[in-house]
Amino acid sequence: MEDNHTQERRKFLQTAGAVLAGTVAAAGLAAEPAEAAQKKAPRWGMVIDLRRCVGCYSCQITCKMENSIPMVGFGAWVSTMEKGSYPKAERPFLPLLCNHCEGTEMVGRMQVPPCVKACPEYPKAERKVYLTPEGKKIRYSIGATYKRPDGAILIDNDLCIGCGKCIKACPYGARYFDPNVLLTRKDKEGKYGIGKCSLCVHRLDQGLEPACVKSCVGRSRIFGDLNDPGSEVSKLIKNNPVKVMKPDKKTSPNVYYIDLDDDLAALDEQANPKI
Amino acid sequence: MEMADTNSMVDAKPLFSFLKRIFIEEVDKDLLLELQQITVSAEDNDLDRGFSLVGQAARANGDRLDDYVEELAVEFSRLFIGPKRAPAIPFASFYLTENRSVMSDVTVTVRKQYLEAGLAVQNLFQIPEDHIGFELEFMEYLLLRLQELEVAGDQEEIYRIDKLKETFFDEQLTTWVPDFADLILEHTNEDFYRGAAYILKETCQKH
Amino acid sequence: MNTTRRGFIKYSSILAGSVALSQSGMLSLKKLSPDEAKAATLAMDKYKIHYSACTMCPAECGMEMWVRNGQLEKIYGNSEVPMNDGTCCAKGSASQQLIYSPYRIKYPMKRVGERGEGKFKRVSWDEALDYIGKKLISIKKRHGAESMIMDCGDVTDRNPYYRLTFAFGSPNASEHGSICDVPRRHGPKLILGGKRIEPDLMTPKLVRQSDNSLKKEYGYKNKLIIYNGWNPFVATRIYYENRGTVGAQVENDCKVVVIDPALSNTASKADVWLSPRAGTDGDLFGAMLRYILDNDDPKDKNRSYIDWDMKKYVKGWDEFMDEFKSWYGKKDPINGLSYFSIDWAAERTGLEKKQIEDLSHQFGIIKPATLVWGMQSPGHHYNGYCCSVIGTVLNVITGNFDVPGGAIDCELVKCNKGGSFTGKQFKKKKITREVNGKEVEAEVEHLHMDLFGHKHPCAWDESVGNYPNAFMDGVDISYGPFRGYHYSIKAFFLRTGNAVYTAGPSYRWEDAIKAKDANGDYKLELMVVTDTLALESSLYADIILPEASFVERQSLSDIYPSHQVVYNRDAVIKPMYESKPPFEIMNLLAKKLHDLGDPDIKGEDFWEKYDKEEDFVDEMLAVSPGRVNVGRPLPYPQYPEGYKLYGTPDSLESGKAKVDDKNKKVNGTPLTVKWLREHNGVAIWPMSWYRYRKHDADEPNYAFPKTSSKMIEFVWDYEEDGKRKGRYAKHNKKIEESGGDVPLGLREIGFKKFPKTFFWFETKWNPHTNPDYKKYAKDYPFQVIGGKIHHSMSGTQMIPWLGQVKAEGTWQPLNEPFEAEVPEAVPGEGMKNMTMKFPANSFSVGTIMINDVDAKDLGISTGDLVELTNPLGKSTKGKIFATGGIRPGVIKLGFGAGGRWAPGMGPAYKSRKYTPYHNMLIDPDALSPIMGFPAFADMIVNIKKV
Ligand code: SF4
Ligand code: SF4
Ligand code: SF4
Repeated sequence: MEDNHTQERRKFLQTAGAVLAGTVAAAGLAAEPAEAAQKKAPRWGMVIDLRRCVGCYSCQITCKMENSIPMVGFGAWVSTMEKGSYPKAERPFLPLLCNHCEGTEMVGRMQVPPCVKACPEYPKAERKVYLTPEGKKIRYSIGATYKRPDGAILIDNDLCIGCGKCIKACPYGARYFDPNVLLTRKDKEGKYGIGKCSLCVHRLDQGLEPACVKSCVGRSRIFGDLNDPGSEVSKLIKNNPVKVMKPDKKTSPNVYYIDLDDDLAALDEQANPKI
Repeated sequence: MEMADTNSMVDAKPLFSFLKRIFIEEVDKDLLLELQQITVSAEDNDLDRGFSLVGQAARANGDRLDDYVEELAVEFSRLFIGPKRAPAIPFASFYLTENRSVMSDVTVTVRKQYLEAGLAVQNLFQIPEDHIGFELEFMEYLLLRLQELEVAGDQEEIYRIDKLKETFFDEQLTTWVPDFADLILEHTNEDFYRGAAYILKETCQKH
Repeated sequence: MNTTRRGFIKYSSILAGSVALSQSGMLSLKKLSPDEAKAATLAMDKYKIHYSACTMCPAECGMEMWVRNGQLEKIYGNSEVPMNDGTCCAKGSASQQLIYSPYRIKYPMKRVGERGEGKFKRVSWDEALDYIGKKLISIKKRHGAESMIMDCGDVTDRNPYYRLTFAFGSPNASEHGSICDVPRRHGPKLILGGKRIEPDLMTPKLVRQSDNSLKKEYGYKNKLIIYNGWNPFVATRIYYENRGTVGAQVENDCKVVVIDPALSNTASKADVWLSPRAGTDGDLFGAMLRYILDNDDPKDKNRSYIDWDMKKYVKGWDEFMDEFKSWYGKKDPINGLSYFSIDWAAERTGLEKKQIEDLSHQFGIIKPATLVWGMQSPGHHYNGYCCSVIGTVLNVITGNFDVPGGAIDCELVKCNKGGSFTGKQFKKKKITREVNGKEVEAEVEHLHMDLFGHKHPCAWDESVGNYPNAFMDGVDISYGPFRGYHYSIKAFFLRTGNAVYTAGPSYRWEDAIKAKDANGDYKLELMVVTDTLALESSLYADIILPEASFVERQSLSDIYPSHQVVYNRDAVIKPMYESKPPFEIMNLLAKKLHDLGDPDIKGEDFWEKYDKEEDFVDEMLAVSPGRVNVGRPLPYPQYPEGYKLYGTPDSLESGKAKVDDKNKKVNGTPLTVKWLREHNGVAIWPMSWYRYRKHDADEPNYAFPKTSSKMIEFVWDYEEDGKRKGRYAKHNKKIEESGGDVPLGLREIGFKKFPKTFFWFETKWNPHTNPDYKKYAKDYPFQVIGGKIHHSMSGTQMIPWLGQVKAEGTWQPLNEPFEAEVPEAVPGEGMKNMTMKFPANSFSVGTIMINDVDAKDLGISTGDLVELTNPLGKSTKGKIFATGGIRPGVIKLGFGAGGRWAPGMGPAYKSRKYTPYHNMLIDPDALSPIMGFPAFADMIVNIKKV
């Protein structure tokens, strides 16, 4: 009786339960070794099944709640339009977020998306270690904008100079200046730090799904490991025609859509202010 | 940090006692009777202006103090409480956070600072710690503490409390209280609270 | 030393002498002992997880709340609660902005200006309670306790207030249900003893397996769902219908039909969207029933619509059908056609004949199916009763009632809670009143203003729309022992509701609340508002009391599930400011009344009995789940069928619960708050279907549903075994005993008594169906419908994040530029409170949804300001949103989304001049004839550009 969707979800949450029982320390966000053995780093991705999106905007606001996003910024947002005339009118919805693009360009040996490529403060000499669920260590370069080995595109405002090049480079409007984050570097060019969807890595590292996925009212946002052919996201991509946003931009997004409305996608409604 | 500064602030303790009393709750008759005594000869700055207004207001209503106390209570509610949208929200978070919440990181920071001095608000978690009255009372307490410590001669503790006081004054009071005072000035015609706002503004000015 | 420094010293030395100041001591801070300080430091920065329940809307989802440093930081759905199964909507996620809103009511306030002026001063709790207590006692002495009304705008956590009201001696208490969708619930109540028929969509369900184990089942069995005037995606209430509807479509190929004049978000996901004229839902249902009756052929697989086996479980099938069919012979005066024929329905609804036939055929043939009707309609039509009756019958005769994937009346299967805590027993108290010179003794409940009043004596949900009339004219008791008694309404206690704004047109309420007697005193002597936020109604209160928000108080949620579920609403943070939870307000006011000499209030019923909030919640849980062991698979095969179940799920499961054969009860260990806290906050008992049948034989079990015969009743006043039975029986008896005094409501529609079975009457202000209004059609060419917008209801519109959301055509970023204080970062100075300009069209406000071709004809386009005027001469202004997504000739407004005059509403207040106030347009005197409910959706207007 149980469909894959729910099974997957519950598997994901099992890991979460272990960390979450009782009181948890805020600082204790270190990766928990998961039971399922995996050889390499996961490649996190999302499928947004628009047949299930009820247009409720919960993802947009849950993201604000989870990540303290300012009024002027959006990590997740929903686009909609009125289409057609009576009685054939339609109202499609399109939930958006940073695509955590795989990217097609290289910086050193790293394949990166345009935002990372554009960042003058990437890569830095400093390297960090990513711990895969099976405990394998992967070293990677950081920068003001950088890519983690699991595919999350992240920012480090301590390294950022506020030049805004990443904002301009992103074809999706996924980034904004955060008026509440003041840059600390002496040689900064602008005052404000960058804000964007972090894929809720602080939650992922505790074994929890991103907040917008957890809250998603229609169960339209489905999250998982694209490297695992058994994951629900992989199966959905295999079994359904899927599309990505702006394939012509060659960013190789990790966010896939089922049943995308092309007119609405073409509207390209961006919630973050253009700079 | 020269000693002179510390001393002058320590001397200002009664000023904070006064302000805290005005902004925590409505005034009563006794206080008004005492304030009637204050006269200002020349108005050089906001402090003079403020005390002059407060003193005059207390005197001008001297023959109807009961009614005046009632009027001031209504104005206090209108300005700081509601139920119509209060024009001068008395919480730091409102001024220091982007979405104008009353409980925010600011509140927690203030709570930590109170704790550092071994204090907590009486009804923990019920009224956010960054209420103007509490913050003023905290300053009052720190200044009192410094006085006591000086008598006892505990240099290490003097240094710690003085540092706490400086940080609190610079990072809290001076960042939002002048804006709060401006809102009062903008929204009331009641001389008593206008005066109090001038005094508050000047007292919490960055120097 | 600068001048300021010198000033400091100067004034400080002056002030130093002040006695008033030096004696004040520490007013708000306190010194901690070293141990206390250490403990406090350790607890800092740690998250604690609480399981609770939301009340940002009436769906009351189960929540998982993360608290750190006493502050609510994270809000998620509780994965163990099947209502929302771990999800959480936009509004739930935004609750912090309400809880920590600077606009909360923080202290008790006392009015100093005139009512409505909004001038208040802060008072202490004791002063406020003293004022209320003295007034109440004086009113009780002069007018009787019944002259106080307790109106709990929220259903949730109302019980303490009900208990206090009943103990005080008034039977007049109401809650949100009375102002929500009364006519819609009528059919299920008459026929099943229930309330709301919803599709079997809740997941997961806990189901008994063939090996006797219990398993959570996911997945859907539904094949067809018809939502008529029901928009679960935006007018949220039955929350699992969000994920369930799209889930059933994707996973089970379920077809979804939405019937709504406007393209709601739900309609936008439907396989078929039908858009009839407003107020014709009952017409459509009537035609469906006639089509199914006329065309059913048990021998033809393609026309085997009716499940004739159902007759076994139904009382009065033939009477109902005979009465229904008797209308076929009548001609409708508006179109000369035979009632309920396809032609007739096409003429009235504006749908094509083929569409109606297809719909009827599909509903007859596809199984399992569910026919659902909603709040907007028929809930808000004068004649919605007829529609909800036919709808219930349609679900039953097609064999869809309580089958897997079919139609579940969730009221019948939800967990019982409340028990003796609700204080119903106090209404049994005997009192005496002088009626026409005679002393009459009877129970308090016989003074109920509606149930024994002269207007709507079957209003089991109170007629809140009638309250303003009662403030003005008092109450006439026409039925029962006190027949002939008249009393005034002198005290109005409004708890977390906004009646002045929502319960009918505000002008009627304002007039009544502000009315003065010859002495210049308010006729309504006391108005108290208890709330968390300062909404419109609070501006008229004599006393405002701050109530703790939903995360600061303890209670329960039982919502509208497919089977019994109950969960804890835990107090996750301390009540902020001086707000207090309902329980404490109850105890304090009770104590005050007692101390002031009220003989009816006793410590043993209140403060001595309930020490903590938990005590009364435990008392409420003592009757849980309180449902019978019926259906397939039998929830508890280890216990006798038909017995009532009590106790925790694990104690019942263990098989060790005590079977009480005398009372047909199974008693496990009573459920408590403690048990809930130890089980993720929630208790769930097993699901079953066919709950009206024996589990092992196809015959009635006579234990379910909740009617007088424990069968499905298509007749509501009948005699059996010498007993009068049926839902209307006792109300008709009242009329008979009065010598046939016809209630005002029934008189309006020409009835003498409440009908025995099928009935029909027309709605108001509808020129397409009611000949009385045909004359207005030309000058008022637009029908007005309303709809709830989840994101912007009366009490939540001030949340800034929700202003960045669009909802259908009624909540759109069409603001005029406005300024609001928003802190922003200033270089070198950190965060500064600055006035931020919201540019035009950047923030959502209430708008008027109109068909784009209609708009073009009127020469207006999206964003234009227009004035809507009704035939009563009332008008409201708003900006239009033109779209193809609405039927021509119909416009839609959001409920509670415009014209807000409470300054505490922030942005909504700023936009009041150009946002429409729906209630301004409704007819204050159109209270539906059976239960006295405002006809919110029956009105016509014309549109002029301003
Ligand atoms: S969506 Fe934009 S910000 Fe996100 S990874 Fe792609 S280019 Fe970078
Ligand atoms: S939360 Fe889910 S259903 Fe709601 S708008 Fe976002 S993607 Fe759609
Ligand atoms: S649907 Fe209603 S109850 Fe559920 S989370 Fe949203 S506001 Fe709260």
